[in-house]
Amino acid sequence: MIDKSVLRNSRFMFTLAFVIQASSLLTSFISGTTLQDSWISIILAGILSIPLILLYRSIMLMFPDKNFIQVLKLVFGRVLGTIIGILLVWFFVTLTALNISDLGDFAKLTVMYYTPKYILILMCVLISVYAVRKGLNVVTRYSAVFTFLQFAIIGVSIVFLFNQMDFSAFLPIFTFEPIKYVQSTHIVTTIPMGEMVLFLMLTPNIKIEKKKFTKAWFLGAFLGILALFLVTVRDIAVLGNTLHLFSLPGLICLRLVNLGEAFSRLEILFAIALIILLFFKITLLGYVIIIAFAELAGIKSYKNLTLIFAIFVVLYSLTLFPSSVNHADNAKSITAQLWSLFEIIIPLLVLIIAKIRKLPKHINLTKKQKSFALQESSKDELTQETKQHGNVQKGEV
Amino acid sequence: MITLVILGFSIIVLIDFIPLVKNRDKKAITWFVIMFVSTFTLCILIMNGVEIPSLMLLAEKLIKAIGLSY
Repeated sequence: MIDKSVLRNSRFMFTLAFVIQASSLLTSFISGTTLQDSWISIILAGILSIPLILLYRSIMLMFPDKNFIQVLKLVFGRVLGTIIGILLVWFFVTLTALNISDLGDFAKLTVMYYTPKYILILMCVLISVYAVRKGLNVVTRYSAVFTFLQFAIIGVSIVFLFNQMDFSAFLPIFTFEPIKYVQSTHIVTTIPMGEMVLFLMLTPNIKIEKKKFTKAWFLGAFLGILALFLVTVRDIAVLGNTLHLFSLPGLICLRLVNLGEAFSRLEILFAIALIILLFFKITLLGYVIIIAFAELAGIKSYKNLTLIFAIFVVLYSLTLFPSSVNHADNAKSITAQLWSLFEIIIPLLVLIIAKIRKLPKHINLTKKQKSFALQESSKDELTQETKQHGNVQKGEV
Repeated sequence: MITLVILGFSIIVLIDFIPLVKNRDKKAITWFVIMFVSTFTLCILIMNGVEIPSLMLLAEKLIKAIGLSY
């Protein structure tokens, strides 16, 4: 194990929740496709995520002491496993770069309009590098705080915008072609929900009982999708049929908060909170990239490679899309298909092949060997008990 | 600008490369050099306004050509 940090029950659950919540800025990917019916797609995606969660959970329980790169090498063999591992690292790098790009665009638009995007990104990434160097415990320490912060933002914004909500904006229902619902459900299933695949890289660090583990998976995912659902419903109710015109509908909604002169222009507070959420996700993704790369390259200490990798990802993010509009277009048309390969197809193949090959293989002992092993272990226990008994007697004397 | 970039990359060498050399971790040194050269080259290219093909746009063309896009 490259990093020996341990992730326990609640921290794992909240980390899972905020990874999904951090995508609440990107609702334009679906709202542009199914407009007022986007909330239906989110519910459908939530239902479709159940088998996805069970898939990831099964792989994690099957190989509890191995990260996903190690699993790939074990299941597909050294050569094919390494090739798929390289593709997976590319996927994580691109995902991080896209999130970095979103952060830069959002921060530039809301907080520092005249500051170059790459300066804003660089500032964020340098702090992320510091956290990644300190290990997984530091990266995930404030997951619960940020999850509650996001819910607080959503709750407060709904209260403040309640006077501007028009619930007739949800009508008419089911007016689009079925393919549109398939498209937007596919987008939600892969873009925020499928990103849970990154937790397969953290398997050796997660130490939770089996029952609690399943509960943490489902509760974390539920909290995440609930946040997405609430954000989408709020945006539809506030923006109505103008929803598809904006690349960041959430921000436009927050800009509309206006309760007299004292409570106007509140979007800056929400913007800062959303930037923190995105920053947190980028930090976790950065950690996953460096762990995955170190595993592939066979490097034991990853810390000295973190900074140069981070700079590379920042520069790579500048090459991806000329603008956020291109990013949204790309996400609507092809990203879901591309991401499905890494988030659904590869993990599914891993599970099927591992079952066929009966992996992980345990050492099969013969009856004689087993009885010998049992005798040896009982001897050891007896010796330990005798020693303890002796110590107790000595203490009594 | 180029001076700032060189200064930035020198700081990275000071912070990360020297400890690696001291620890004599050959694999890590090799990968650091590979990453450093790639990143520095990419930085210089972007600074000079060279248009770097976007992998996501290439993927978009490929997926559209296959007929898998929405």
